[in-house]
Amino acid sequence: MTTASPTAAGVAQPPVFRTLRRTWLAGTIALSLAAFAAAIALAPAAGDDPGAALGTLLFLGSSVHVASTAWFFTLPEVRGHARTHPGRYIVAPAALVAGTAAAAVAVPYSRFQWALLAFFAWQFFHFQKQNLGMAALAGICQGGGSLSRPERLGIMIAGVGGIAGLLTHPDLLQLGVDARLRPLFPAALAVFAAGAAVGLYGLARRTARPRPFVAVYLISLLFFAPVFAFGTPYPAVAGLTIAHGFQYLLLVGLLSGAPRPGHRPGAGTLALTAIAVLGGIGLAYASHLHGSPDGAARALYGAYLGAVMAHFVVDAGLWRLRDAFPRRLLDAGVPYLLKP
Amino acid sequence: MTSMDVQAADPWAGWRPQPPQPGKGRGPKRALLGVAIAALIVLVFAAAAFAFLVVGDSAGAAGSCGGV
Repeated sequence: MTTASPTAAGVAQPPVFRTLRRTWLAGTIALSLAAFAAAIALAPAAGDDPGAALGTLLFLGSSVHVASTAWFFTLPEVRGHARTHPGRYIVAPAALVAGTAAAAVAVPYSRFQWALLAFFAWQFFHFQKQNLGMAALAGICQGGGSLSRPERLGIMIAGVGGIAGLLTHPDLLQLGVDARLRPLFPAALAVFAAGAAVGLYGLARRTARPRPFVAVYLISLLFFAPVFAFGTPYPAVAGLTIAHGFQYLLLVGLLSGAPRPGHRPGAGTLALTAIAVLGGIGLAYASHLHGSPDGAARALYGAYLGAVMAHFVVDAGLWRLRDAFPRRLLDAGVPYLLKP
Repeated sequence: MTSMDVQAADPWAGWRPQPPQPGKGRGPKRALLGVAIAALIVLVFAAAAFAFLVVGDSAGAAGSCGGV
């Protein structure tokens, strides 16, 4: 198709918008489903390392995706926004990195692991917030409108159930702590099921249900299902980690490939790739230093945890579409996702 | 004019349909975005595979800090 398609406002859209919109929708669905399938198929026996293939997917889905957030700060408009909102974009990230670095040195790892329960709760809440955003974008770009209240509520309740399931079964997170909450695991499953029911009710009430939207919505709603379906860490959790990271890399990759006045095509994508991979190597290295007898090494491990939490904080600001700046940023980079 | 204003001035203008100009095609320009997306995928995967050889295979299920 070579003709331009009109928007609701009557302004002609470039034909490439349709291709990019389909790329994002198909990519998000395929990457998410493939992530879950790969985690289940490649999962090692209990107690074993994940192996080269699953280890590489986890490296991309965890450390590389976290490091890719730093690419946003190569954009002058993001740096300008950060200067006018220093609390979220400068002070909080610096405090998180410095604070967790100091805590990792001062607190023995046997006790520090308890704090990791809170860290992981935040991490999986961050996952579910992204799922909410993905489903909303899929609805908007398909002309079906954003999510209804029951649709949103369903995703969030299911997410709370999934997080509760992980906290009551910390073996799935490979943590050496036991809060003796395992009897509550069925209650977490009940919360997850209730969220799924609310979400399906909202979906059934929707008048227009384009198939790509339904697929993205169901992936978001049932994202934590593996937690309740499998009893060992890699099949239950690795798919969530990989799917979340790949969804993010696809969207940020599309943003980085958007044309920018005065920049060569592909320059943003190359910058993103370099930052994400080099930063990812550094984060992955630091993440394995938790058991070190050397205080400096443990400080690096703590800084790694702080950097991941800084990623949660920065993302929560940059993707908040009810604010004017994120809307302008996305409308300039991925306008085909904000308009049908 | 701030950099945000520059972005607001339709960075996609060059991609919008233009009246045909004799002797000028639009195909190569359109292809560049696809090349950029493909480059991202290829580079990330190639670099990650290389990086993995350095980093090892002990990643935890919930991210790199698992496997304690």
